[in-house]
Amino acid sequence: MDVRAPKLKSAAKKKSEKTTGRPAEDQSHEWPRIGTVVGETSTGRYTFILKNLQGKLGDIVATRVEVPIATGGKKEVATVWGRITSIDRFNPFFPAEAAQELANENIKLLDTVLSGSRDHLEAEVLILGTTFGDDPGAAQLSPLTYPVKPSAEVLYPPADDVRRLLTGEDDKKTPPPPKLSIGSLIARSDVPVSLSARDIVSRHLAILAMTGGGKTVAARRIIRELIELAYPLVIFDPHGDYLGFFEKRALFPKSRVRVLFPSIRVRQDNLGVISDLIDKMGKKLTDAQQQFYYYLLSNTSATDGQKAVEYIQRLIDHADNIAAKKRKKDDHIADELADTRSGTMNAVKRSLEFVRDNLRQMESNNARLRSQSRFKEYTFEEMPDPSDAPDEIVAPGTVSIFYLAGYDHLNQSAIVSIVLEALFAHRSTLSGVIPPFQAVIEEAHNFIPSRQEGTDETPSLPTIRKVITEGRKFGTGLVLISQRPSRLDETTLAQCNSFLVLRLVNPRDKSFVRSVMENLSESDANILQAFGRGQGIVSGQAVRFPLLVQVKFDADLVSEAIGDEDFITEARAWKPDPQRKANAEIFKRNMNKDTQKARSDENERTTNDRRNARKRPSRRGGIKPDF
Amino acid sequence: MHSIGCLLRSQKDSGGIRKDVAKSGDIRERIEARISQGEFLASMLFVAGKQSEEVQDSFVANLSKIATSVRELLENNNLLEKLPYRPASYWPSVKGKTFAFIDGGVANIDLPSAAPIGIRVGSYIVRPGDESERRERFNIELQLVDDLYSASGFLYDDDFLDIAKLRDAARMVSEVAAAYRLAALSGDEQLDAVVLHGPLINPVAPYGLEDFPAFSVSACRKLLNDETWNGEERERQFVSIYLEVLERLRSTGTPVVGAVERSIGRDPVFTRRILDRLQKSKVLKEKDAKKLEDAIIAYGLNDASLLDVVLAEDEYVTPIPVMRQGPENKWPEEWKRKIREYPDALTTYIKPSALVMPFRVEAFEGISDFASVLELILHTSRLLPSYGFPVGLDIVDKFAKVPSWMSRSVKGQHQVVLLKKALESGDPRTVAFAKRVLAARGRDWLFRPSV
Repeated sequence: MDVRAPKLKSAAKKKSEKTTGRPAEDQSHEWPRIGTVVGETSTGRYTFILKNLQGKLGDIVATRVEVPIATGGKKEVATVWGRITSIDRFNPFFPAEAAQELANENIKLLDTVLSGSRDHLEAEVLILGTTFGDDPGAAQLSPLTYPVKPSAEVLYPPADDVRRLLTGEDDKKTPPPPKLSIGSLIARSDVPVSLSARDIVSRHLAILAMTGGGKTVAARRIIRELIELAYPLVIFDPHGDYLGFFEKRALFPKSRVRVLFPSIRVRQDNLGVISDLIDKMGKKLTDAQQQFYYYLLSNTSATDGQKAVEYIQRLIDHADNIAAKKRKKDDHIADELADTRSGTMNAVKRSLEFVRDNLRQMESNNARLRSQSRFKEYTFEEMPDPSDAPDEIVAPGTVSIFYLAGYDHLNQSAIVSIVLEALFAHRSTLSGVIPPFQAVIEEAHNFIPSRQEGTDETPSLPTIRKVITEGRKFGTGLVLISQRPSRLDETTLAQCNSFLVLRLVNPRDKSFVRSVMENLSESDANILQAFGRGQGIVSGQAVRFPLLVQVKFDADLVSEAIGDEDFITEARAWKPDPQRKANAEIFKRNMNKDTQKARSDENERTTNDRRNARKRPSRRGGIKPDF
Repeated sequence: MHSIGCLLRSQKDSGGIRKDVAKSGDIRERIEARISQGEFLASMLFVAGKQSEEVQDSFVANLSKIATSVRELLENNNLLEKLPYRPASYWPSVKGKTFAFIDGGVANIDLPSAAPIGIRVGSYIVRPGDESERRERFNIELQLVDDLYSASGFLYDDDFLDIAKLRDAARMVSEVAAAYRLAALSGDEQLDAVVLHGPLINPVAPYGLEDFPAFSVSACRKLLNDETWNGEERERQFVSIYLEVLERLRSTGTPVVGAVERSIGRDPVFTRRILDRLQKSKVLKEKDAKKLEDAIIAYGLNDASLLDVVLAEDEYVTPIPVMRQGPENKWPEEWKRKIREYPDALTTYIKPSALVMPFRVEAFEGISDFASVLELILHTSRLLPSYGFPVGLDIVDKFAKVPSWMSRSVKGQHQVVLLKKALESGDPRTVAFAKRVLAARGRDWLFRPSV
């Protein structure tokens, strides 16, 4: 591209010198021209005819427009920055009729006299804002106040200028504000993209993408950058996607990475959550049973820090005790239980036993997962009590990863609720025990489900809602990650000030994302499904304007223990336990005869019984089913 | 080129009458299909207005008789040819050849009492099978803009009232001039065929009027692609310069054809020429020829509509020379000698697919391998099966068309020049006239009666 755009007007140059205090750099006059503005323009968008192969979707382009300034009749040249949001391509010289004939006759266009070279490219540009003078990194990107001129040239700014545009004033500050580098522009790998760390840690971020869209890769990238900043992190990890940080902790010598397994403990301040959890986990209780359950709760004292299973056991014992008294007609029974029947008590007891067994089962599931050979290098620690020892979870340079695998959604949600509630309480009461921190919640749709998903069963929803609303004041930031955005609670998600949306195909998810992200244009929403792995759109306060990004993939963070399981190979290599097989053989060999004999005797007896039964007259006097 | 005349005749000899029945059945089917598409409406109305009731009643039967007679005459005299449509083998066979398609665009500038002319001739040169960037080239070969108010007079030397005639003459000559520029290319650039949109040889008599202006020297130099040319006024007249360009074009030896998209008029020139030829060679009686010609005329059939039902898919009439200049008695006396020098157009009608009307193709007599060019015409037409016209011409037509915005700006320029000239004259009446002309409406605030 050798065509050069004309120089800026000297007035604009002088103005720039005046405002920035340094000579205006005349770099912009060398920006290559890539097209010409056509058709109707507005202050929000314009279209231009693009030169063949000179620009692509997502490119940041610029054009110039004279805008009137306040002092009567004067004007100033503004650089209008925009992003190409769509490109239409058509060839007016290639009739559809000919295409049909080529297909029918199986002939190549190139072999005929048809024309395939006169493509007409019409690109639509979303205007991002304007800068005055030559400095794209002006403090404020102002809105365009006067439409772009049809016939104006469209320019392709070099990487350096685009980078300065993206970072704004930041480069000029000493020291520069902290940034989280996430990758580069999709269209231009030479332009790095970073997020404002301050906005992420205080104003929350949502990472949304379908499975395989690269949300874990993006989250890892952001977490890594936060680790580099020694920012305290708490990660709730239902599948172990982030355990790699522990495995690769050598990469972060200044940080402490811990993997914690959950342990639900009872405290007076979370008794509500626990009792609710027991209630929801257990069987459906009748009013009378519910009354007895509440009686048990209020009359069974809990020791702070006691494990939930033990507490439930105490409730069971208590219920047993009362039932026994009832049987013995003991007079020492409480008055409110005078009318409670033994059956009611037993039902509550059975429900509690069910919950206890369930909890034990989940604890053992988690333990079994942790003891897998692939985790042999891992040191899982039991999670510290978030109320009593929050500083063991949140500390500068500390990453606490809660490995929640093995627990069902309800329990995972209760764990998140208990931990987050306790940590947030410390922050919001300004106890001074823990520093500000960032919580990362993977599979967020399980923790903040929408109303349709049954929100009343999710203890973490009110907690997260509270944190997301008030967290900014108390230095508690959230990163919500989900593959099913439409299943998320809209109110909670809308509180996120920044979004990183990667590939989304489901139409409901796409329209939901559009409804939540105010500044996502229709054409941006339409390209969500076309994104490749790790490609997405980032918007919100963490960036100056919405950008299409290619998230950098951290290959060095990929865990060797956690990866895509290869079940095909596993199934092929799988062999039954020889000991188990041998034991089964013993039984087959020795017990088979007797068993068979016993079975034939039994069969005979049953047949006779049936025959006899048929002979017996019906109690109802021979009423037969009417077929 | 495959002649099916003999084949058809031998079939007829052996098969007897049944074949004829089958053929006339085909023709009748074609007629009925065309009637259902509304094709013969004009002819039917023509017959309804002029002929007897009996003729009207048996329109289809009579039309069928005429068409069958024409077809059999063509078959019987080896005047019917068939081209095989075989795209899969044809296109690879022309790999590396270069074909040019040419069309002219006229700016639609409508100004009362002013006659600006804007013409541009575009070319589309394509080399099938070439994968390089030079596979296809679009170019504006010629641009002619006449400014009536310029002292030099760019295109024409003088004013003339019939603007449409001036425009037509300029368009015709500039199209063949563009063809000449391309046909004259040699070496790597040499073309294998040039296809013009429109007739190759047009009737010139209507432009030989006494006061028809001559082209300016600079316009002629441009047309002849010859900066040294310096002709007298008579040589610069349309009748002379057009012939000069045609002769130069013919002498290049490059096969050049004109494809005529639409047939206008009711005169079956081509069919009459065939009958004349047969009659001259004494193979057709004069009275039979006359009878058939009268019937064709009575039914208001022109060549395209008649041959539409006569020809089957992929068929064409053996090309015959047709004198395009009309009856000599209508020629202007002072140009008779010149008009006699005009070459005949080797003419055929080709029907590229069953769905479409045949169209006329013209070449110079002595064109080398006309059959190959017709094969190109057929294959390029079949790329637009329901339009049935060479796609290269469709492409260049779109390319050369003068967009309305361009016409508007030319009009604007002319208005400015006109007003400027009027103002310079200092004569209030001229200024008032200029204003009236520009506004083109009688009642406007500009024309409020002055005190």
